[in-house]
Amino acid sequence: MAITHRRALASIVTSAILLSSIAMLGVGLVGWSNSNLLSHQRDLETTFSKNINKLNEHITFEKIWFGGTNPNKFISITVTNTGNIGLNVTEIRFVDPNDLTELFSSTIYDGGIAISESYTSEINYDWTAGSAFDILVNTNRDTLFRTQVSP
Amino acid sequence: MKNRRALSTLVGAVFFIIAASSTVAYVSYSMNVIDSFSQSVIIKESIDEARNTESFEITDAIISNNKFDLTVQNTGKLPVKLTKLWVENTTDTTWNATRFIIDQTIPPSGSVSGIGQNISLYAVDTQAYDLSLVSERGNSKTFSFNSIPNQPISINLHAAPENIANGFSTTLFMTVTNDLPTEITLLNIVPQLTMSGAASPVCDTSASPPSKPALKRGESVIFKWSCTITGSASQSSTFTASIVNGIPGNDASVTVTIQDVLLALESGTSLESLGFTIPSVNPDILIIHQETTNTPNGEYQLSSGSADSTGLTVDLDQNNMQFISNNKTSTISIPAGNWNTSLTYLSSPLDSSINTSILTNGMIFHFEDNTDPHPNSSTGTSCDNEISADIPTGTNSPLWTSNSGVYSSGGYTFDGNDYINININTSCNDLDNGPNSSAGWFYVDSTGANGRQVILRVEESNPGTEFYEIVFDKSGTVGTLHFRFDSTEGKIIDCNIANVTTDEWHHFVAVREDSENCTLYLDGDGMIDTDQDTSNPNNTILTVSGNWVIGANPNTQGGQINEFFEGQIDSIMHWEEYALTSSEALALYNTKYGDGAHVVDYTIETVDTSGQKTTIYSQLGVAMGFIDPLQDMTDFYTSGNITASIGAIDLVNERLLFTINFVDGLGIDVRIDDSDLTNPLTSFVQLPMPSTTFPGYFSYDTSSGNYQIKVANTGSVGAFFTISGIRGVFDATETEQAFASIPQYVNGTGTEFSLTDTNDSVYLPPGQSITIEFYPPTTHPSVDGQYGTSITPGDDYNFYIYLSGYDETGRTFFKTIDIGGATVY
Repeated sequence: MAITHRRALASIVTSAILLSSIAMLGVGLVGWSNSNLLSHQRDLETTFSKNINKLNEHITFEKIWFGGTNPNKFISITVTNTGNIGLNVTEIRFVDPNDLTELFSSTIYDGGIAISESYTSEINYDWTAGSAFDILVNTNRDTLFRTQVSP
Repeated sequence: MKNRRALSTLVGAVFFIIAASSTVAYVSYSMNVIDSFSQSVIIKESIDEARNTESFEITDAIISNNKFDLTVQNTGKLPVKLTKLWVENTTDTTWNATRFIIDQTIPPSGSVSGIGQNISLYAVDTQAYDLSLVSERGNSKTFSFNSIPNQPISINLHAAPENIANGFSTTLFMTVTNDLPTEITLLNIVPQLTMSGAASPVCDTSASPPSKPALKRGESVIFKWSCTITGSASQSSTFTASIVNGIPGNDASVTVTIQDVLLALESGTSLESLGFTIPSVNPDILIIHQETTNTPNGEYQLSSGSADSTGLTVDLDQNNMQFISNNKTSTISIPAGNWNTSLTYLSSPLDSSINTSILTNGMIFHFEDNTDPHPNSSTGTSCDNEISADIPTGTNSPLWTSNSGVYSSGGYTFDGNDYINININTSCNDLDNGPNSSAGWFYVDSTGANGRQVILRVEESNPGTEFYEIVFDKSGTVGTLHFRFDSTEGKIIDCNIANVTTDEWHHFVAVREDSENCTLYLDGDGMIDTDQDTSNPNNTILTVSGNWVIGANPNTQGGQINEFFEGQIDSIMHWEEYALTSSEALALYNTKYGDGAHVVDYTIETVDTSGQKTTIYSQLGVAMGFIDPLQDMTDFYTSGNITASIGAIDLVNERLLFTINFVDGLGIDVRIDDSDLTNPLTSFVQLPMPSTTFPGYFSYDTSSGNYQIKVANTGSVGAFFTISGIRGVFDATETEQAFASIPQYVNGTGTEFSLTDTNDSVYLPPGQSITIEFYPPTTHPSVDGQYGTSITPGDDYNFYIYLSGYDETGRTFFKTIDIGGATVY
């Protein structure tokens, strides 16, 4: 009888150990998988929102005109937010279209543009009549808009 | 045991449910994200599609009530909402580009006018604007109003026809194409036309159409003007068309010329009356004609009639010239003043006794003009375009004046740091085996530096030392003239003449007979020196490779040009393959390449009807200047005058006879009767303004009834005349009266040759002449002169012939020939 009691106790203990082990493993596995899924979900959400926002960003170069006389020549650039999301212009650059060398660069600190609104920047630049160059506008979402002009 | 198994299954199931639900939730979320992203992309694409398909054009653009009035049409399939209008005044650059809110919606295919009327901006017709229309979707279109942008556009101007008769019209077609590199529509293109030239055009005040409201990129518009042009033959008008407010220089020009024969010219027909052509409008100008008919002794005709197109070159040194006017019974009074005989001519390059191989193998530089590079005027073919004299610029440039050369001809003065380069060519001046001869004039300034002054030198390039030079070794007011050459690198042949004076012109002729002998002539054969060195065989070839330098030593060994000449150098000549003789050296010295190149005797006489001559002016030994024939003995580019001061005279039934007899000097070719010459004109005589036009060589005897005119077809296409196209017209110069004749016969008499409504003339082949017989002139031209008043004998008339018909190519032609003053008795 004593032997029987020992076997029964051992079986219970074994079962308990087995069950608790399985429970611990299961909890760990489920926790890990949920955590992993949540992480992927957050990444996906970030990527999605970033790309969607970039996709929805759009500006048009509404008016670019060349004014002034030496040595006070300037270029007035007006862009309009024609996308369906607000955007923030952070940089305007002029680039030689032939060798892609940067002719001018300016960081913009007040370039926030709401939907359908315009932003004008007057840039002092010694433009040359007939000499074409590219104007590049960067947003804080790193969207690049480009147009070519010839004074 | 069963209970235990059930618990395990439960635990497993719980875990499975948790894991499965998490996975399903994640997959669902992912699907939603992808769906949302796709929706965003679709929306974005639809927006972009809408933006790209949006299309509108400005179909009309004017300024109304001092404001823009634009008509915009929606050419797309979506409604367009125009939100802004940018305006930039490109005429007034102080203007800043300004934005105006317009908010105007245009349905598909619809249009809206009056855009710009409600903004606060006032526009000015005369100023240019750049306009930019912006739509809500962000599309913008730029237009230039009243102007074009800062890039030229394609403008062409054509005239149809470009050659017209006096008083006829031509149509100008101006084609404007918007070929701008960027997408800019040009609004309100207004053409403008300017005119210049001797003829007098009267054009439409505005083009048709007067403007083009809108010209899209790639489109063209044609503007037309009709212009009536008056003037005399060969006068022209140059029309220049451009765009109002366009870019300076962005224009196109066309020249319309008045020609007597319009259509016939196109087909090659040209008609002239034999012996008579168009008279000058200036009675004081008498043209020397090549015709000699009806002159007393075969002299050339002298009349106010204009020159022929054929022209004639008279070899004056072989044929003395006489030209004579016609006489008239009424008095021609000529006031006192200068009588100027203007002869257009060219001088022969050489005296006839001098070897002419220089013309094909050599060089001649008279420096009559200050041109750079100065062409070699050898008048041959081999060296004409092979070598030239290069005149340096800056401080090394010699000073040219029109009289600083020998015999007051054009020439250069070298001030001590000047020189002229002449390139080398194997056929013309590379010396080589020789023999060679070089000649020229020089004038040494006595105040210049002592020592070697190089007149000309050519040498072998470093390290070679062979050379050929003419040098004046100055010492005070005299010097020694050297002719030296070295063909053996160290063995110099030297001909020299000492005690040559400064401050006066001298002529040299340097002859390299061969590698061992030279001869130097100074001022003809007055001073001669020779040199010979046969001690060792010399190289027969004299090798030079640098430029010829006039006025300095190129000094390629030293690397610095030096030994500059101070004074004048003129008429450098070089025979590449000939040794001039002493007689030729003398003849060259005696040739005056300047004033006195030709000497003539000049006489003006009056000749009465009996042939009695009375001299009114005579000058023997008139010196005429040298006119360099350069490279073309047929290119008459300037003229020379013989002027006489004569008191007032009256001519009554007398002629004026001019005689030019050649006495001495270079040969001279005089060009007469050549209407193609414009600057200078063909040779002529200019008198103080006479009281009346000198008579031409046409006279009409009223007692003889009909009169005849000969007409020559000098073109290349034959022609027929018609009855309706021939008239003879006498215009009385001192009254308002005029008389005219109709033709009776052409090229014969009798019915066969009569000119009627049913009978045209016989064929007049090219190069042939034909006789036209006219009825007597009356105030009412008619058969036999039966109607109207007959012409009055004794009055002064200008006589004209009007000809027309059709040529062998089926084209019509017409021409008025002004015969000039006519004598009617």
